[in-house]
Amino acid sequence: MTHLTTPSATDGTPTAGEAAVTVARLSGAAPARWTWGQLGLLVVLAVVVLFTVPNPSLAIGMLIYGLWAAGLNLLVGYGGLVSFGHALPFAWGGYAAGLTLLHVSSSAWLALLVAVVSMAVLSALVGAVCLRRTEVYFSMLTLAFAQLGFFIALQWDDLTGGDDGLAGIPVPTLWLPGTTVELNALRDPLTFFVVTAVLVLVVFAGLILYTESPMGRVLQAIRESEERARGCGYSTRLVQLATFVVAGAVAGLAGGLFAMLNNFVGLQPYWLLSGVVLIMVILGGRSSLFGPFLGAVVYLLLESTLSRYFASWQLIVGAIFVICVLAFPQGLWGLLTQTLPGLFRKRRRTR
Amino acid sequence: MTEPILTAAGLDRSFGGIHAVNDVSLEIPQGALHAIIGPNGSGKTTLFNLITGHTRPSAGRVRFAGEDITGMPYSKVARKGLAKSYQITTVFPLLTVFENVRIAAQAAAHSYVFWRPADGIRAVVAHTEEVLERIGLAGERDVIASNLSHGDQRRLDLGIALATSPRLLLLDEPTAGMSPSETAATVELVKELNRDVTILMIEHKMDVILSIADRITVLHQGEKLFEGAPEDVKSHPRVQEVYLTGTL
Repeated sequence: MTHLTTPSATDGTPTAGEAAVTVARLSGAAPARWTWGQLGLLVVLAVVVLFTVPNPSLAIGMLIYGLWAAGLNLLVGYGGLVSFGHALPFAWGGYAAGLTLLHVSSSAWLALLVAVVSMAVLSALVGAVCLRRTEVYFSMLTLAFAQLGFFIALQWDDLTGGDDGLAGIPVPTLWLPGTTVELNALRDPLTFFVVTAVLVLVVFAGLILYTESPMGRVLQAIRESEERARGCGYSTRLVQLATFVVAGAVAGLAGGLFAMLNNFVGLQPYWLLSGVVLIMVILGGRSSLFGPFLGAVVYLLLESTLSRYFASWQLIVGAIFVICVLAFPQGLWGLLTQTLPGLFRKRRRTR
Repeated sequence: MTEPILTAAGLDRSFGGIHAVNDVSLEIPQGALHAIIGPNGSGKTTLFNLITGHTRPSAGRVRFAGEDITGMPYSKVARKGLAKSYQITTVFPLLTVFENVRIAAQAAAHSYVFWRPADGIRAVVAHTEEVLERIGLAGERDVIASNLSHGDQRRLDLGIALATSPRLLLLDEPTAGMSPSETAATVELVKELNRDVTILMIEHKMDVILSIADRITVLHQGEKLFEGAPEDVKSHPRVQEVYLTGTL
């Protein structure tokens, strides 16, 4: 472990969010921090999605992908750990929930519980290996595990349905105090949307609390200087591993919900989304939890609109992504909370 | 007599063919302000790294506060109450000054709490404010650390170490690159800190060392050349020779 012996980190090594430095340098003070306000924004966004997105399956998908991306940003934005394999926990959650519904019980709670708990355990194992390295080596290890999962899902067709996936997952029933509802996205999309929105909001609130807690703050400190965080007495690997587990569990929940939404789990799209969810995070912005959520909504909106008119819609999305990264490296969230207010301030000053 | 807070016995470390630290022993009594001096490459920083666990000694033992800490990982050594400030300023660059110190201040009791907001823990916030007052950065609390002047970053680096409430503070050239006025302020700060914490420091500026240290160890080419009180160091012929000519 040679990096232990060299005094590290501040000698010009780029950290996550160099642009934030620039912005911070320009203003000379800390950028405005949004904490619980993000929860309010998410409520507004969910309502807007509910009333403006005509396709209910897309609207529900936005909530699910949004939560998944927000969870990934714990690693990417807050931890400086860029996972290239975040499809693994999403797909695992999907298969775990799907198999539970198919073979065990139609209880939605049970299926989601199995998805989340099993994925948390698996994340602890995968994370323990991946976190033995940092930076790009960490990314490559996460990618390798996602590929491993893909091929297992492909080969083990007795269990996973292989290439065909698991079709015909039964409609789950959700027990609520005093009543039981069916989560049928086709027949009753509103119930599905509301249930998903409530779950997503609760978990999102938990994520905000995590980033604001002593442990979440240490995570951000480690991103800034792992050496210094160690010097304060923190077991930095442990904090990163805990975060890896949280992000994995959240992705497992999202994958489980996605399986219920589509009554299907398979190689496509589940295993192919590691890049997509990372794009959502970067498009939305890495400096908040709401940003990636917004990024997911915008990405899905672009996808659904463009794919209607262009066969090669991904080319256009890719171009938009490149432009965004070059022009607004802090993503939509940075654009909305830093760049635009900065412009207004400047205009007022010149006047 | 109480046991010294830090004892290094026969520390040895070589890198390839270079003997960076050669059979160095130290005893730092409780409350001391002990300085290590020596020309560039004399093994001062390596000696620090051997004490903090950054580098494993090839031979020798380190005892801290009555416990053998040889080869213990740095984070664990830090938890025992040994804090270090860095020769190359090491702060959390994109966090505010307040958060830099607060992170260190929460380490003692709240490391792995994830169920309540960090800013709501009053004892930690109060301790952070106290440290900021002490290092003179209370007015800069909301500034992003990387925007501070070099001298202020050095003080913040020291403040982070201080906020962990250490029993022994290792300072690696605390006045490196500072202007004369910044140096004077830091010297005052170090003196003041020494009232309640034991300090072991590396320093290049002779005038700084002679004015504050109560005991001095001179290293040369990895070996202990001399150890004694400041006035004896000044008059020691071999030390003068090393410092004047750079060779022996």
